[in-house]
Amino acid sequence: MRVYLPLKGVRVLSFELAFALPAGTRVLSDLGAEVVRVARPGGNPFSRYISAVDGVFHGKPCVDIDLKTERGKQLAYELALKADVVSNNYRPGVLDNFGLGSDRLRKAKPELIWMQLSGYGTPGPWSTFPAYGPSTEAAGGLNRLLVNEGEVPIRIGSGVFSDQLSGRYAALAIVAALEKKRATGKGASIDLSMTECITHMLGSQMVNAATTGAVPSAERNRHRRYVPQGVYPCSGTDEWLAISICTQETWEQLVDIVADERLEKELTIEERRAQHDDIDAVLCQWTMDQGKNALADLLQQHGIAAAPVRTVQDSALDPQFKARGSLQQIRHSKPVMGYRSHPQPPLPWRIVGRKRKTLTDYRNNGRDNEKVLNRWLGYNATQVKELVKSGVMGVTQSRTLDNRLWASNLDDPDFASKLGLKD
Amino acid sequence: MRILEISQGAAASYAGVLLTELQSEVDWIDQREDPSEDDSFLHRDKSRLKTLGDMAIYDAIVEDVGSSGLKKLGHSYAALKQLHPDLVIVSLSPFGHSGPYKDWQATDLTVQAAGGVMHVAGYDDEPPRKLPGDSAAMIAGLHGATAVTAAVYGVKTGVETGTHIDISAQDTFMQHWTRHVSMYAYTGALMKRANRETKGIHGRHTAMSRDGWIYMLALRAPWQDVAAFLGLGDFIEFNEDNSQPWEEMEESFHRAIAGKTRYEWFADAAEMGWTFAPVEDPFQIMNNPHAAARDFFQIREVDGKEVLIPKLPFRWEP
Repeated sequence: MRVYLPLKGVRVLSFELAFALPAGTRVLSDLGAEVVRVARPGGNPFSRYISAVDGVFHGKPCVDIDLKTERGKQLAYELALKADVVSNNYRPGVLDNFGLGSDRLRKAKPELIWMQLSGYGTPGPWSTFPAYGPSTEAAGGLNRLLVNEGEVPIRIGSGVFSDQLSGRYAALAIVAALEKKRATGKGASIDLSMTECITHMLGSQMVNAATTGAVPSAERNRHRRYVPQGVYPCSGTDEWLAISICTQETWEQLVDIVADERLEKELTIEERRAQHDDIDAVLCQWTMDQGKNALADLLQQHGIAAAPVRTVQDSALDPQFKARGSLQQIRHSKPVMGYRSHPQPPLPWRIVGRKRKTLTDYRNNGRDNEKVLNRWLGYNATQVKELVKSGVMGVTQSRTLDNRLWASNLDDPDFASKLGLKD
Repeated sequence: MRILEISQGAAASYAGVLLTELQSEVDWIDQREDPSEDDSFLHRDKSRLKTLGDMAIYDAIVEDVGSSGLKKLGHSYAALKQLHPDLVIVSLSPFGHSGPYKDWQATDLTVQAAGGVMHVAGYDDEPPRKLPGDSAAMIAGLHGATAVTAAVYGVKTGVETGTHIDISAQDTFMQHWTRHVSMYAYTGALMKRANRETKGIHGRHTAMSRDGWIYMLALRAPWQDVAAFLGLGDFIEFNEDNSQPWEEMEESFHRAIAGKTRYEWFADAAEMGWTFAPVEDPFQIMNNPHAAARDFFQIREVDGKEVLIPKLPFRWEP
């Protein structure tokens, strides 16, 4: 079976940190583009953590260049002119200071696609304000729409929700620019705002607010047309089942299954809506001593929309994820955190009749200096060694994550056996 | 690109609207159960078709009706592929077209549940909380638009042929908490929902400023610096158990935060290199100075009323 590589032949040079842009360029790499990550010599522990655990640097060769040196700036410039796409998520203006801004590069190569990803986007009064993903969720409207007027806005617990989302919009923007370039020969300068990504995802709620003149009520887990709908406790600690009743027929099925005289088949949707709290109380009583997976199976057998709320522990063991290859074992050249491989999600699309590109482990900073400079610029080994000797490029790092870093976080001591990790 | 959208839910509709905004021509076959209510964000700028015409004119089809929905229209994936070998078909569905859950009934709530992010949303004294609207479907739609564009690019450049891409909203939603799944796989660490009663300012806090909520994120900043910045210099010393003196400090904290507007806190924190942010509601977003400077909204008429609709979240200078 052939590997699916629609972006084969595309070169991306990415000056990337933390999470959002790396998540986007990971998509490009998964689709066959040659994405070269540019790091600074030495790196830092945070970057090693992002590299190993988060998975967003996987599959990308890495060069390290000291952009504070004149030779480093020149080297990065030479590489940029060999790329189809130059992307960065440094603070706006930083890449320009290194002579790698859109104006200079696109003057030399008009067909280049250049991207700046930042928390708020440029231009604008907040363009240089620093941001992490959670800040952009707040500014983009997500936290407020999770609550009602008068309640303290909350954030969702995933530390990388906005980063992953913005990365996906970045991938879309770059792929669309590549297609436009193919059709017209013209490049593009793209500026992406993480905050606007959140707002765009909430576009229907934004337009609802604009048309009704009111902030949409937080639905919590309920729904206007699916009644009852909710998340109900199951046996175990913090285990839950989601149920949606979408039709009168499935309501009647549910009443038969639950077999509690307090639930009546004849209730119309309006009546169920009026009695939602009472119905929820009966359903909670019914679910609380039963397993979420078995209940989801049972309800699905009767055509009722239901699903277990996945925890981090059982996500990796979800049978649907297993069947679809939604997590792939990444083999490490040396054990990381004590194990030879770990699961990571590959491109989350199944290509019918084709294989997805196999995800490979992250590359240490500077690991691919020689290979990339040879392929892109024709440099030989001696020239690269000279760059390393003069401090323009770094010495390949082989440090991996220190097991002791998270020793205190061992909440589930059996995690390795559950996941089948081998030391 | 010329695209055919066949949609019954938000996933394919969002893919279609993104492709429209990217200047593709999008024809739309509306297969919603109740087509009486249009969503002015999702159902705009597309040519609504009553019947299917010549399929050979399309570069790609993006759909969320599945094989049964296509059959109702007199088509099948195999027949379409035979008719037009370079055609790209992107199928969006709650759980995908393969695997034990492929025929599961679903709503956005159940997909969000199975996708996982929900388990860490909300407080630990209440059930996990769903994200607003059809967030799981919207994210699948975003992937759908990317898949269409990448696949058509591959065909046009000659490196690929037509393909059928099967995207599951459970899969795409799961990607949004990969850090926590990975942390568990690497270290056994579990992630839990937030505690409602935080006794202190722990790098993440939301409080009421003079004119609205401010989210305060000062990762890795020493407590003494944060306390001084917030005007809580009298409470710099920790308690004996190494905790912040929250009971003594709480009233002063709220008074201090109420002393400035949310944009003042935001700008002052940025000067410190900290990532505070205003917690904006839709109207605050529509009226904030940054969105205005970026020309983020377009004015459209909906039901005889002018409303603001967000443009793409990226600006594109040729």
